[in-house]
Amino acid sequence: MTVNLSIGRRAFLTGSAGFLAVSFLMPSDLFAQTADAPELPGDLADHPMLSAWIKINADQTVTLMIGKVELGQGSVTAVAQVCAEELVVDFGRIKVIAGDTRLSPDEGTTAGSQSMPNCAPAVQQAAAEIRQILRNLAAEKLGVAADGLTMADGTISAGDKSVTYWDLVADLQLEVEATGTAPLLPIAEHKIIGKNVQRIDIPAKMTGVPIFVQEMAPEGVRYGAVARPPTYKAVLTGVDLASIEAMPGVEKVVRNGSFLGVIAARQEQAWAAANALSAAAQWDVVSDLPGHDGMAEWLKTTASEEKEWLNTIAADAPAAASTHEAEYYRPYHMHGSIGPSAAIAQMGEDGTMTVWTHSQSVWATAAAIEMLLGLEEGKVHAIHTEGSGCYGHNMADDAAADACLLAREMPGTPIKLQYTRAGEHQWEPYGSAMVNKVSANLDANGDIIGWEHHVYSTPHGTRPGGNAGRLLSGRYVDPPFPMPEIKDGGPPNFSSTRNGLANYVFPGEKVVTHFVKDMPLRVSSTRGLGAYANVMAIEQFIDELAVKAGADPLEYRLRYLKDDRMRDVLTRCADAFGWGTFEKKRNTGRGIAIARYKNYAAMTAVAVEVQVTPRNGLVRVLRAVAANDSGHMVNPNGISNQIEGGLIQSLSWTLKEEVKFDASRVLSTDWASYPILTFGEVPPVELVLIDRPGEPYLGTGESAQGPTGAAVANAIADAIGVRMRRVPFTPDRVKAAIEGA
Amino acid sequence: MLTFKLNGQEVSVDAPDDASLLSIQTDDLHLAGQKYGCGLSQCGACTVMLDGDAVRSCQTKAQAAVGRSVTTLEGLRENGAPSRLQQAFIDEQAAQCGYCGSGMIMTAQALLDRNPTPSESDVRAALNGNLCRCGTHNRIVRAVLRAAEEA
Amino acid sequence: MPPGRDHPPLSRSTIIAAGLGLSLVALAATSAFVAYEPQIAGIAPADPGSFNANLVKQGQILAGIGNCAACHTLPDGEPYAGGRALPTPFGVIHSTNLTPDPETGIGTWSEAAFARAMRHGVDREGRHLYPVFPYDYFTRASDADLGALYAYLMSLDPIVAEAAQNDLVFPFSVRPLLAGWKVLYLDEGALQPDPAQDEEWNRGRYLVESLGHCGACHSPRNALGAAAKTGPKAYAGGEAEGWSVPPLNGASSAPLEWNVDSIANYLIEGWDSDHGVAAGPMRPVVDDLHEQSEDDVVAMAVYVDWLMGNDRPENASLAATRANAKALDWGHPDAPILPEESALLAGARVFEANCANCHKAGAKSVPLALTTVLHAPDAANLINIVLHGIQPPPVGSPDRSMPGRAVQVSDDDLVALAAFVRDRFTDATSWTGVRELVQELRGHN
Ligand code: FES
Ligand code: FES
Repeated sequence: MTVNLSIGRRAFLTGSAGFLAVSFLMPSDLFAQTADAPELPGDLADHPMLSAWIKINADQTVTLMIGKVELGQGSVTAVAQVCAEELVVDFGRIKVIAGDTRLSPDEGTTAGSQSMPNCAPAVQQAAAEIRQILRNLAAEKLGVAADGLTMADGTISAGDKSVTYWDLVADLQLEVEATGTAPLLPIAEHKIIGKNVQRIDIPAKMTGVPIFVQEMAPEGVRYGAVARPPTYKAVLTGVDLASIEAMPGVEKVVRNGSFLGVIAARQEQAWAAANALSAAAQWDVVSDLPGHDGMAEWLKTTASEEKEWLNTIAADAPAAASTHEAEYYRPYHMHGSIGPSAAIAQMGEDGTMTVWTHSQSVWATAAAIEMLLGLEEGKVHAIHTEGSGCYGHNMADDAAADACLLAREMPGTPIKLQYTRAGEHQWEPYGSAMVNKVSANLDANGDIIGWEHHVYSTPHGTRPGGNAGRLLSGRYVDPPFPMPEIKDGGPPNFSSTRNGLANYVFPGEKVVTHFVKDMPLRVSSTRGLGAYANVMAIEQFIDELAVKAGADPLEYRLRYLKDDRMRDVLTRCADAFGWGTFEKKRNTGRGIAIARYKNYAAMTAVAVEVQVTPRNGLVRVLRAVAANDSGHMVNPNGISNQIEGGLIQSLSWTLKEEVKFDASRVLSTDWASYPILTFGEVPPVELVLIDRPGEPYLGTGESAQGPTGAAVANAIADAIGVRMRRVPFTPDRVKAAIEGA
Repeated sequence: MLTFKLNGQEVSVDAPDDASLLSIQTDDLHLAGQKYGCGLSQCGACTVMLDGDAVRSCQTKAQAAVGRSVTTLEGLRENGAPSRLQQAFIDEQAAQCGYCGSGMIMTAQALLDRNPTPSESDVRAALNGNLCRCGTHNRIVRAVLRAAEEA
Repeated sequence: MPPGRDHPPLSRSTIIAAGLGLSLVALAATSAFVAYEPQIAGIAPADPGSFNANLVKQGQILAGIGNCAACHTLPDGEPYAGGRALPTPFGVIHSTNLTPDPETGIGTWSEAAFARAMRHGVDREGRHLYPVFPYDYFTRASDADLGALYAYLMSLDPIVAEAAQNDLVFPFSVRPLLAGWKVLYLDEGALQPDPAQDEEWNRGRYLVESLGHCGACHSPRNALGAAAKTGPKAYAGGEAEGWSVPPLNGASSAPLEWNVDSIANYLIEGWDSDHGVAAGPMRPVVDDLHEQSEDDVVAMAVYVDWLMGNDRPENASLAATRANAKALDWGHPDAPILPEESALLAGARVFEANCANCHKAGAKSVPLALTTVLHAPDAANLINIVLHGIQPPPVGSPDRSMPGRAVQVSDDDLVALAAFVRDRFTDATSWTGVRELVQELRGHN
């Protein structure tokens, strides 16, 4: 179902009344609900059939089927908690099938911190409905009134009579649609929601029980590898395959246009052969990239689509007593999964291609692979299998596609493919480089009269979305699939402009995006999309204004922050940090920042203390405090893991990371040329989690990125008295900034 | 034939001369514990213990293990149950994706064997060459210290 | 034993030692140092809480400058409880328990007894101490600093830890003979400031020359284990725990001259981008200095810089040296082609398989052509690092660890590698005795 259709249906359902009869007549699920029924929560609206979500099994277990998948964030456990709670069974009874294109409801992509807001409420309502059905069945069976029944771990009792869910399975009819009317359990009765239930995937991961696709080794498996061109735009002009075919272990060499791959008996043999293949091939090379040092200028000067998203600056706004402006740059950042992407694919005799993949979007990726291979719809069966943390659209989908391209050449044989470190580092779709220009008109007190924010960015979302042109190898096969036009996202999620609109209330605010469609380097969704750069710009700029006004940055923010929950998050962060009692020692500084992710999701404030060594420019984060409001907390431990993890990752981006490239290729090929934060650089992190029982689940995974970066930038400025506006804040740059001051 | 002790048992593997110890575990013995992360000795995801020392199996030739004793993540289990260190990682929920976990545990185990009462600084120093992209560092340190305390 | 070292190896020492021993006795008879010193009466252990908190704090800082815990702590033991075996050319000496335990530690030591140990190298009972405890440096500390150090140690938690027996070769096992050693090598008394120099220099000199005891490792020792204190040999480099210790005087072989900033970076962060990482026995020193007042460590850097007598290279020449060094990096477009000579080529292959993934153009590592290691007089440090890796302190030199490759490289590999890197990255003459060193150092860890 397309996005538009689904929005249309919700509008229809809430906007009209009293067509009960119609719903029975219409075959399509478009009108599946009674129009006066409440709107179904989350993804239940798209998949109202209860049987799509939950199965009660005679073996005393419950199967939970969801379309959102585990990306290392613990959300599958949290969703299972919600299911167990609302179904009133022990948590241990829940078995989860996540992201199987044939078994799970299609919940689209697992991204944007959307598992908790969309999947959890759907499961919760579905479970409540099933509980109600079970209760009614039991009442019938026991011959008592339904409201006299008590339920505990799958047993329904009235006095000394009882019946279990497992007894009722035979009569249980779940091929019905949710009504949206079954009441949820009162929060006061919650026993599992809000508890630190241990994640279901961790024991296997810590003891060596296979769980990652990288660890799977089906019987008879062969190993694949891809030989990439020397530059993005290279075209293969010639290659001698015979010498490669003679290499040890090589069973097949595949050429399809400019796509080159090998199948070998061992993974290392496949890699070696692919390296040799790359070297042996002749290519027409195009060298037209701006290079990492030229990227900021390139973004500002390349033709772009301009869009004004907001303009509340009144024509008769008072004249400015002074103005201030600043320009910030964020380079390309890598997802940088610790495990390079992998997949296993097998072509079945019936022409079905089964692929085990850690894609975040199994349905859309399966469709893109069907297009790539020219298979009819439904022929690719994608099964989500966990991979290394991805933090967005990494090469998971490319690996799935490449495994399928190779598996097609050896029907019946499972082909496993894992990229090399360089293969992932050089070819993954990075988080887009961005320039942010912010300016403000100020009155005589330094208060803001008008605020203007210009966002310059290449795209952020190039997920496969059912189109082979967005799979890396789709560019190189013959005939190549063109990259479909990439659009910038609009409200409320946005993509480049995500969090481009301030969370503050200013007398006037203007936000303009300059969307550059050209993509010198491959880019796609990376934790937070535009939010990291936009929040960094906004939260640094307001800090600059506070300094200019001679105000405390915390107090200055509170002048414009009107939302009570956000104010609470900010002040609690500041209190935990000891903002008011902070003693500035030589070469140290403090910084604070806040944002509400996507302007409607989780709220996170971060405060840090840094020490800067002028001698060598080294920035050491001495401690960090984060406060977060993710709505009603299902699993506090999971939330703290995500906030702390996001914070540390953002420290790494902010202090160390930049994808380096020259005119033709990416130079950051491994961890030596793209260093990330290590144990010695990770500060102690203190968390303040604010629970809001009864409020919607907001999803947490991406909300710390922007505030962390900005807090660090602000703390560095506080420490050295110079504002640095170009990420990353490496020792060389910090030293130069100090010396230039 | 390469013969060595794996988790206490003698194993023999028929593999090419230049095969890495990591590839023997993944491609031949189908063990899940050790991961390929970089193949360059840069990340530690492939760490195993060779005669008690933490080594990076991605750049260790399998030949180097001949006649020696290799311990992998699986080999730490005690009668199928998680070892104290593994359990400490579970108790601290010291994983996000968990891909780095096996290398962390093996490196930490080698540390604990050498120094059963490490300071926090010892733990960070020992793990400094192991990379985690998810930002689980502080939990991992706590897990190692917890295992040491519980010993 | 690496060639060119000043100590005679233990195996050769006995004959020489016997001869020396006789002359020592003769010396002792005529010396100001008497062979038998009086016992200083024990005191009732002080209440650890009775010392002035500021004094204790000051003492803790000084203990860090002196890196006391490094020797007086077992690798996995309680801090200051002693017990660490310290190999010397004369046998193995075990460090003692510095905690105020009355039986096994220094709980019954009065401040006078402590000061006598530090200044004269005599314990409370009156026994001469071996100069592996560097009282020849500590003697220069001020009374006030010794008092602070005493207060700090006495306020530690007492730990019961019996010191192990020393295992020394005769005649070095005869303590009274040490009186003779002192005649020759102990110049007692606190250091006086040099009015010709500024305060920072004087502070640095004081720390380096007294509690810091830098010369204990950075100066060569003579046959009797005495570190050179004056003349061209002072700070001319030495040896410690199987590592070659670089000179801190004009003989420094660093390709890019050190300066105050780079020395301070090295001492505090354990790393400098023009020189490399602190490893081996220097690592615990950095662990401690990292915690110190930056002003004090910078003062030490000022003094060490003075010791080195460095010129101030022009910025342009600095930049050129750096660029030339980088151009030698593996994979650099201007890098030299691989050597033809087969031994060197074999080393290049070892390098390619084991080192080049990280030590290459565009990577975060220090260009190898700038590292002190490759310019050292012998291959000991290179071998140690390749075999055992670098585990820098977790704070200070972030991101500079290196896994050891003892399993991956054979002795032949290492010999070839040493020849190749010395040839490619330096203009120095090739190393000799590498194979013997490899064999010796493989056992170290
Ligand atoms: S895979 Fe071996 S260190 Fe990264
Ligand atoms: S938990 Fe994901 S890499 Fe460490």
